[in-house]
Amino acid sequence: MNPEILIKLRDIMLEGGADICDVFCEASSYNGVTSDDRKINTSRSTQSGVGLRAVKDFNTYYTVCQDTSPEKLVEAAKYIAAGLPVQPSRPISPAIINPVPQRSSSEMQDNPEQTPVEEKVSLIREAEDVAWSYSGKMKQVTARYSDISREIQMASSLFPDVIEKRLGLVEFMITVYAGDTSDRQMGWAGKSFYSGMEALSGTDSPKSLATEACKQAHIMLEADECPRGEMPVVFAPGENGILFHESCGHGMEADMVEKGSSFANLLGQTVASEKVTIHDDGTLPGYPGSYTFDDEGVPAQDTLLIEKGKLVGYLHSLITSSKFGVQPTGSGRRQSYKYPPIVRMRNTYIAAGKDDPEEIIRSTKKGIYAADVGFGGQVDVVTGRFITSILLGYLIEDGKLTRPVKGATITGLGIQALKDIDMVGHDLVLNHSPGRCGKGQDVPVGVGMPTLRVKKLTVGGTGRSL
Amino acid sequence: MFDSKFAETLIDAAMSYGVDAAEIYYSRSANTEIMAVDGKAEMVNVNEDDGYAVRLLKDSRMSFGSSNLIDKKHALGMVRDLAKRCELHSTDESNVIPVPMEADALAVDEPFDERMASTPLKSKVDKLLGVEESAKAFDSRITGFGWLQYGDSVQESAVFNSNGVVAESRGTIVYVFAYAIANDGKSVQTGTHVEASGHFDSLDVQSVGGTVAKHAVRMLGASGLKTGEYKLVLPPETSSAFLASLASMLSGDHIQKGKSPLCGRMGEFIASRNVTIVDDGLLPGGLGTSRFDAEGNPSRTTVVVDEGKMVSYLCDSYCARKGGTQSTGNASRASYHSEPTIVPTNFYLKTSDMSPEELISTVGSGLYVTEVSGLHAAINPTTADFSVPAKALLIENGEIGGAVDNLTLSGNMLEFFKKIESVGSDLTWVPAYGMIGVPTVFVSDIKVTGSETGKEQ
Repeated sequence: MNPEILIKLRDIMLEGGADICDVFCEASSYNGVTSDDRKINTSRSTQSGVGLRAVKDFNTYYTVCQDTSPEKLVEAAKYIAAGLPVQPSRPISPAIINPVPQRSSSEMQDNPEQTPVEEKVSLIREAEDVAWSYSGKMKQVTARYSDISREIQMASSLFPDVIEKRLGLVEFMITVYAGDTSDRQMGWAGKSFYSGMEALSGTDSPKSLATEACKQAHIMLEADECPRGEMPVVFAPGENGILFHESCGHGMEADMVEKGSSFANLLGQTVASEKVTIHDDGTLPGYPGSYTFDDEGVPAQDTLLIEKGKLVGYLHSLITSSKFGVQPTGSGRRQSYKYPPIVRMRNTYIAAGKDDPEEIIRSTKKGIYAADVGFGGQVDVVTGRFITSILLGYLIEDGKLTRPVKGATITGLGIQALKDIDMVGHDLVLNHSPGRCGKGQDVPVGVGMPTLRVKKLTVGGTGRSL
Repeated sequence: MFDSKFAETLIDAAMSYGVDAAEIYYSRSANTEIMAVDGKAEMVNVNEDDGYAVRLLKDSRMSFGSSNLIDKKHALGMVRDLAKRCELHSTDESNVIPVPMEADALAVDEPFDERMASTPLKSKVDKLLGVEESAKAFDSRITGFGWLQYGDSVQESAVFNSNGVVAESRGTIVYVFAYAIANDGKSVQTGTHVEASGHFDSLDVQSVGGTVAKHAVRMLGASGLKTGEYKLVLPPETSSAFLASLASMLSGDHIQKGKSPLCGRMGEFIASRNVTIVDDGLLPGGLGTSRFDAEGNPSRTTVVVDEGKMVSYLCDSYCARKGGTQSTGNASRASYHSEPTIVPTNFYLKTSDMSPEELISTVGSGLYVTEVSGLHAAINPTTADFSVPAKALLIENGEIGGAVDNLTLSGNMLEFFKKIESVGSDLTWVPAYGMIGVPTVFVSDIKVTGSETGKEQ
């Protein structure tokens, strides 16, 4: 779209008395290929529109225009401007925002938009073949490839010129079911990259991920019921970081802090074991929570949340940083032009520690090794109580992994769990998580962690007491 | 209501490319969303969303595309691409674009508030702020809200296809979601409540505020519980989560593809004799009531579980063809960008004439389960095993007593429905996975892991 129009819309809202305002123009396209029940299908969709936001006295006024004719857009900007309360402007954010670069684009070699759909179909066909032929026990396979391209232009009251970013996400996810009529188990694997199609290769190729999912389902078939009770839990590195995203990360989003999350009023205090350092980093190239600047135009950064057990920061948007009197952290994100930006996580991970991962298991007499906690679960951000399932785990007996176990959930309190972390491995793994984080709006996020041990968690299994 | 000319142009173009059938789905919605904090509307989002989807069928191959660019040139380009793409897709004899069906559904009143679209924003903001006010007035220990959201939507949709289906449908919905915080200086507890209505004026602020306040305050001072097997009474706010999970297992798609634990169980007793479940897309006054589903099939009434026996499952036209039955009118699209999936309409558990108080008194001692969190994340979709955190009030001598928390309920969903000893008379509708209607239910002997150490009961 012509940048001059976006500037004009911004100026209408500014003249209407907005403290901050922005115009978010987006054109996106989605291409998908699925295999479900041995049937391959493709689908496509396109979407475009403009979101207009004005903030006055920390309150947000938002509207959306999908008709992008200049007349309609001006009408929408005037609608917002007319709705703003008449009162003096409030000085906003101490930050001087100067987004660099003004134009950016996801790094890619094989641009999915220029790749024939036949090639994407063959990626799925290969994955489907690998999965169905894994064993005679395969019952169902559902796989999905997708690429999403988003072209975004922004005008904001915080900088003079229109800025642009182009985001290209490629994703693959597979869910398999194996077993017989008496026992059927699920396995899954998936990856998500801000990249071209070259990212889906090697160990991240659809074929490799299909094998991984099948392997998981077959181990589950052999697994016993997970014992229940309070016990030490050792978490495998990587994707399990989702647990800390859920149980702690949400409580460190400043809008939740404001509403009384379990991390409110604790800045500078000890909220975790001194072995724990947590980052939320939007600068890791290619990871699903990364970008050059956020959806308010603030450059992404690596934000330290917990340093050696001390709470040192929260995640901020322009609005929350102004309220708290701090710098924004580049954490204002939106699902699309249809939504105003809110405080979100990016790639949240626990930093590597000094312990030997093998020693962590060896020194655990009796407990559970959580290989995969699945899709994240749920948290009550005020009390900090969380739940997640252990999709696949192993019993730890006398310092050794023994039988696989399934069907367990872990519950606990976020801060208590962080304080109960008594060993942190040196084997940090960052994950290209394929899922979305939901908070009224869905955005891609990454997670990561090294092997670590929580000395006591409540495991609710269907099996006997440990 | 919609521009049928635009649809005709696209259908004609598709047919000229040699497809066997073509379908255009339109939807249009006008939405308002408001978030409140500390007596102020912190965020207001007023928006409209219009778009369409195309499905083409050629030699038993289906292709799907969608867009919000209501532009003839762009749409025709998409139709041409989709017609070509059919070749890349697998043949599937069950693929189908519906033909017109005889139906009583035309006579149904869809929930529609003519005044919703013109209701001033200020009235909506006041409604939401009224929830906060009435919650605080209900109990002074309510200190605030972790989330307080108002939403409304005026939705219209239409399906046109080359087989002659013309199906227009519309509806309005208004809801409040509240997550309240209670603090008595010694402990902090939270409570949630969501309430929906088809009419702006029928959404009662006093009732929503009072209910969410009660949900939070009743848990203050909660203590631990000894692990053991307990009799459970689940009021609608918690029994609805279990029924919604069962609804998902009764989706024809999950059953036919072997993803549901109810696969191959048709005709068997999957629940106790006290359990009869109906999906009724024609229910007068129901929020899930519509004349047509998202493929243009007429809505219907389907008994799914009859006195414990599984007698049918929920179908769209694909599943119906695959299973050799008729569509139950359960095709749904979250937006024009979504392909049809199976979702319940008004899915409810039939009640008895026993009041919840009577039901509790017959239980004697047990737990009145006030909250289960994230059951969907806590249930193994293939085995139906669950293990879910919960909060409860004790039932002693047939009466409700003190609060207990840090509980985990575990078992198997199908066993859970077999253990339903009785159901109450208090049918309550909860927006979840479609509209879920449930009374209070009494379930015997469920394993509850508590945090109080000591011997099992």
